[in-house]
Amino acid sequence: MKKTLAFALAVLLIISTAACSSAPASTPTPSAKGASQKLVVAHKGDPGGLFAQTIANSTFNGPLDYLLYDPLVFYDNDSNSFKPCIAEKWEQVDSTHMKFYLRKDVYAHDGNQIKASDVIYTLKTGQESGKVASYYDRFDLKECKVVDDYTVIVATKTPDPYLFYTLSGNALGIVSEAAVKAGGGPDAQQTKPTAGSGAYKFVSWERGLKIVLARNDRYWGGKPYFDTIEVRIITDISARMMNLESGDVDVVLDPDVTQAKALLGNNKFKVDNIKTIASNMFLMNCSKAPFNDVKVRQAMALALDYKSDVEVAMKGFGYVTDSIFANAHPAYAAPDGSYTNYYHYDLAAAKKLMAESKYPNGFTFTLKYTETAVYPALAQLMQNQLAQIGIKVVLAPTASTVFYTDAAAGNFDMYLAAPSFADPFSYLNFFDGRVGFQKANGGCGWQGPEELNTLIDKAKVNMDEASRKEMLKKIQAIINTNVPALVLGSQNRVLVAKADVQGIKYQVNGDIILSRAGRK
Amino acid sequence: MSDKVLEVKNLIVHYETEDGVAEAVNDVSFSLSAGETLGLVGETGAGKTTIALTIMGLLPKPAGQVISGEVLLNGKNIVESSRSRFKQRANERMMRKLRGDDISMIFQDPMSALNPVTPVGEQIAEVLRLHNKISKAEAVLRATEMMELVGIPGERYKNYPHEFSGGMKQRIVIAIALACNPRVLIADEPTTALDVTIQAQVLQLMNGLKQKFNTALLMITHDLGVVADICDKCGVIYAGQMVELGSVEHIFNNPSHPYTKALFNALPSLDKDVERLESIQGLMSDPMNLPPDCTFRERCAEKCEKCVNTDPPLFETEPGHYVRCHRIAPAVEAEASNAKEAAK
Amino acid sequence: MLRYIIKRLLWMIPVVVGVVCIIFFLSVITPGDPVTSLVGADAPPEVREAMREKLGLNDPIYIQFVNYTVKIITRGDFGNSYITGQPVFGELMTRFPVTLKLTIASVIVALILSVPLGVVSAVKRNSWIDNASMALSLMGVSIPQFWLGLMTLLLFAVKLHLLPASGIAGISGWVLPVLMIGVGNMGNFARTTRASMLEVIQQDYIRTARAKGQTEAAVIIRHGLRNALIPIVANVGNIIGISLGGAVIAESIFSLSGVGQYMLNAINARNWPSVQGGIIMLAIAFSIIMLIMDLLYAAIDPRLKSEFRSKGRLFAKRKQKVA
Repeated sequence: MKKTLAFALAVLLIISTAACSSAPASTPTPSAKGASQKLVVAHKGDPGGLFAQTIANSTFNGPLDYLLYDPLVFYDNDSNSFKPCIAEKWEQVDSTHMKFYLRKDVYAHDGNQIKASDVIYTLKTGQESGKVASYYDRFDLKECKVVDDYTVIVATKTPDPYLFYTLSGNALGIVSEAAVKAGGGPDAQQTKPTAGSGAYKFVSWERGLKIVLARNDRYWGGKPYFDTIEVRIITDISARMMNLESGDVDVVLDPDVTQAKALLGNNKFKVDNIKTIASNMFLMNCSKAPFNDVKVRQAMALALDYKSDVEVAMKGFGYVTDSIFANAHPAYAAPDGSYTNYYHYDLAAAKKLMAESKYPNGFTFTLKYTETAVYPALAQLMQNQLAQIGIKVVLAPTASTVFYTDAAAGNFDMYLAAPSFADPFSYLNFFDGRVGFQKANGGCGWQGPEELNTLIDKAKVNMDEASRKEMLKKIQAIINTNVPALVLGSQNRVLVAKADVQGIKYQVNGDIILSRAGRK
Repeated sequence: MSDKVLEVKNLIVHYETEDGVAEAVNDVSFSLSAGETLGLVGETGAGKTTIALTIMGLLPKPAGQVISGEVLLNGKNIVESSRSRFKQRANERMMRKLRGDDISMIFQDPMSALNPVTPVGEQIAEVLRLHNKISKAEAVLRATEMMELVGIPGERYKNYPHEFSGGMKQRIVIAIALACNPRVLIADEPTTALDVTIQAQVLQLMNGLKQKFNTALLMITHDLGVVADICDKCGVIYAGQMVELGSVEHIFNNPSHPYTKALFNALPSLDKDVERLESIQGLMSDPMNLPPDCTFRERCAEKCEKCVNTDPPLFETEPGHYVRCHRIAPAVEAEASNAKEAAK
Repeated sequence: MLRYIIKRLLWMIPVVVGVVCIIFFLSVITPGDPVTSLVGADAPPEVREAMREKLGLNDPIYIQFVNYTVKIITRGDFGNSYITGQPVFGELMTRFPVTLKLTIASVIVALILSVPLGVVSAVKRNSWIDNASMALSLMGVSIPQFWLGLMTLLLFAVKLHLLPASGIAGISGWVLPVLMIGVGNMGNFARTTRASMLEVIQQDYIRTARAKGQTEAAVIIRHGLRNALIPIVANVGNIIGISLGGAVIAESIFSLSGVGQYMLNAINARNWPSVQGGIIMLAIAFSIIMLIMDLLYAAIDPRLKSEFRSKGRLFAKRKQKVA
């Protein structure tokens, strides 16, 4: 009797614990119609939130942001130019003011029309949150003006030659103020976005599992192809690929490069291989020894085998860089022999420079990096190659929370990052000694010559493309000669999909646009 | 000899292990009639328990193997000396029906002989239901009766073994053994693990029940007192051999084998005043490595040249009294020749 | 016995308080700043500072501690995730069922596979069956989980197309993750079962059961296995307790939204409310599992029942004294 009681209680406890906890948010799934078209995308993790305007930018967000939100302008990677989006045309008012004429048929997902005031609301919300500062900080909100419902003037604090790169970013999707307010404000929008006007609208999000989006039937750009886009979260990199091979998913973002290479030439799949503007940078702390010795830095740049490193670490999904800007970057200027460029492999020269430096017998330093993407492979390759000139590298894989804090505090010998700013002057903060570690959230702590500072200040506000390019070339010459950072290849944006999926586009920074995708 | 319910004939049992073959039982024969009690005495390791397990068909497998000999239960052989798996299995099937029903066993340690997670009543009912076609309720009823019979209140049916004392546990073991009214009951040192005060009670209970059910009892013990108390016949086992077998009177009044004599000398006695008890010198021969000699030779006080290299057979010194000793031989032979001559 | 259960449930309070203290202490000494994952690596210092202020990270640690515990006690509020801004409790409760189902299902599968294997191994000790099944269970224990997961995925989803590669919409989606964890546990359980059975079948009561004329199967199952269960149940309890912390590898391979990935992400992002809430929940779940296991022990072995009965009385006596 007592035994059965004990048993019954045990069972009861199990059931009650299960019952207490089993209240999964049952989310509506889109009704499966006969000929419904669905695109399943494998993604590596949950985005931080779905209201990109007020959330720290990350690679988890890009593809979703471009589905849910449309920015003012689009970058078209086929023609390498900016195309109308919410803004159908624009004109320059003066060096800091740009007038945009908006389409009259743009509606947020909750039905509110997107008008000129919403553009300003978006800029204001983004700037106030401070979370995407590199994009939003440039706008001068006092000067931004609504001309009429469909005309708006966007003002920047200083002349901004690279404004369109910013405006086309995934964090700059225009939101409807009325929709944000009706939807409970920016924080509520993070989990249940309604304020965008993108080709697909939000349906459900089961964290760690999937995000479901449905076609926006009022989309101004024509009826999107797929009824449903399901972004499935598959954290394991090999499992993502297997899901593609088994047919469970159509597209894999961030595939493993080795596995992607194996699919090249397989006619059931296609591998997109798109150049990006981000180069892998090993930023040295030039404010202290041994990196305050320019000969050491130059020797290190010469000791790296750029070509084979790109091949080994990126399996060919990348290209060799020879300047602090990646070759695909709009600010890139090819080294032309007018100055000594050290970003090439020459071991003999490296050894010679090393012997002339203050450290002929070499030294030891620590390299911090996060264990993502190709970083571990690059770190190991660099370790091997620097050993040839007597430099010992201690590898220190670091959790991202610690990593960025350390970088902003200047607490490092060298760290590895791949910033992808289309605006070269955001980039140049790392090399501008006046900015400092904390403001630049890292950098080199390198004090360049006065000439460099002047050039940066002038180029930043120079709206004339030809003379600006000339200045940027000089800037690169100075920096490349002084080698405050090592650059080791630019990794391409790789995407693997079933062969019949087409129409996937890429932004200048490599972000993926799935909204125009369809099937053959 | 139809009244003989159990007859063991020339039984030889070996344990075959990786280290070698242990000759545990060597040519043992005895018989038991209904209502009769045979005491098997001998020191630890002499093979008494092996004999009991062989009769029960519970020799540890695969080591234990009957080499030859027969065990007749009501005239039917119940051991299988063939190594054929098929025959072994057939024998096992047959034994399963007999065990607990026609032939049961009481084990040495009541503390561990009962399943600790099953109420004692159920353990009695289990054997009843195995061998009788009765309902669960009826089994409960009869198990309760059995408990009352061995002196345990029936309301303790649902109690677990840990809630009983050692003596009471042994009573339950006895109830299990006798539940199906077996022809033969084997008791393997049933009182060794009990307090002295309880021992007598348990023995009395067994004896009483045995008489009530007219069961033949094979009492394995190393306690000659127990034998004197309840046995009709007594066999002395040494190194797997029956060295002396006879009625209790034969053994107690006229112990003939030197080992039996030594056993008696090792007993404390009320009428003799001794300072130290005599012990038997030396150790029993290793069953793995039995000598070709008389197995008791090394420790024997009366050994002679004949004991070397020849193992003596059993001699019948008087009707029903058998002794395995060369010393006895001349007297027996003389008697036999006298008888022959007288016949002439 | 009810008293015993209530007493054990009350004991969870000091356990949870202890856990909260330890986690708070750890959050102070662990390097890394949750603000980084919130405002991004390129946020200006003023924004970081404002965020710290908003989250209350600038308060002295004891104030933070008091605020946190007061909220839990008065409102059952475990705080909001730094990352998502959602209540931690709700986030955990959508994930916990997945982990619980995965745990229970994989333990059941493992038991179904391993107990017969262990029993047969023990009964047929040193036979080829024993050797084969022990080799199998050794493999189960030693095969890396991620490898097994990927290989089964490759075989059943990619090559044979029998099962979906991800998603747990239907039963079929559960097969591979349950199997992957189950196989690991199977080896463990089989070895425990074998060891425990080997000990039990040498006991006298097994011989008694045979002497009754009981069939071998009944001897092994009814008399043997039941007595061998305690170590197995203890092992199962531990495994369930540990598994409730989530199966990080299985979740990442099979795209399951369980506690494991949640906690891992929370720790990586220094998302302290989620970490604290998660660990408190685990501590409670673990305590409940251990209580259930203790009750099961008593159900299996009557000798252990007296133990908690006496504990219950102790508790009662103290109450009487106070009165």
